[in-house]
Amino acid sequence: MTYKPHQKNIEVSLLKLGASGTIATGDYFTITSEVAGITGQSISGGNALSLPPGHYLIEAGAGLDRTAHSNHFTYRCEVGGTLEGTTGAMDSSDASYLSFNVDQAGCATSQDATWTLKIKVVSCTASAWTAQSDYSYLLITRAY
Amino acid sequence: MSWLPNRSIDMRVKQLKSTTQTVTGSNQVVVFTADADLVGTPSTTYDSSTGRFTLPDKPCILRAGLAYWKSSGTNAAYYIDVQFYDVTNSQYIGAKGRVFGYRPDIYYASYDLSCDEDAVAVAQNIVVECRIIAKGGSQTLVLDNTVNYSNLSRVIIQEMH
Repeated sequence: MTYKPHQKNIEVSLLKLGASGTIATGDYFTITSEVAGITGQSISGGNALSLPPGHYLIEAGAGLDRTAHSNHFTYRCEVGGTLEGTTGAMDSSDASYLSFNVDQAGCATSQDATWTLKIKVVSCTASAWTAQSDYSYLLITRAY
Repeated sequence: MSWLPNRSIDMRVKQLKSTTQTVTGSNQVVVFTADADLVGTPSTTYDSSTGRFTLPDKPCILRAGLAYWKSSGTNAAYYIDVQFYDVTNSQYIGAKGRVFGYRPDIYYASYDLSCDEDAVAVAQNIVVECRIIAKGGSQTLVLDNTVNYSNLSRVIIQEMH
């Protein structure tokens, strides 16, 4: 998309991330809307957010219950089927993994057509994580 | 920050800061004693006698990050949960944040939850409070601290004009 330095409009949406039961590697978080501030946004299949063209800044923060402090968990934004942006993670005492702090997955993208956003679990300790939607969010800012 | 008069999107940022409250943890309003305009001239108004702030009729991103000090009690697990409260419509809004202590391994021996430390919300044209909605552990916890940890707790309000 052609870079446009003087965007005229800005919109913000806040959504919740969740899951039914435990969530594992390769799974997608479910997405539900709390503040639907982006014109034309819609959710399909429970985990795919359709968004209109524009310049986007995305921030996903997951809240998860664990069964041990050595468990590990990472997740990223999936933009049109491709993982993009920085990896979010839970902290872990597992010496074989990086000592992640609790951080968001983040992504910036420009799209010239309607596109789909998902939040995907990249790696985790199997069957050890349960999503807590009250502590999870997906914050999206759109300029156009 | 330099003022850029020709920009098309006008983002203004306000900070609420400075508190020394002891945490009670049950729907406790965090009352900051000061506020500052970080970018531009924000339209949000703040009442330091109640802790309530009034948002403009523009989309606003709210973030609350609280720091606390254990003034007494054992070195066992503890935490506080924080969330924004919509006073206008009498409801909690946005995602909860949790700030835990003591050490991570001690905390996770007692509690399961990992999440962002910040509470996050999107709102406009309402009156809002930052609240501590839960406290874990029996220790005495104090927000900020005038000697060692002053001005660490804060609410950041980004207004999209």
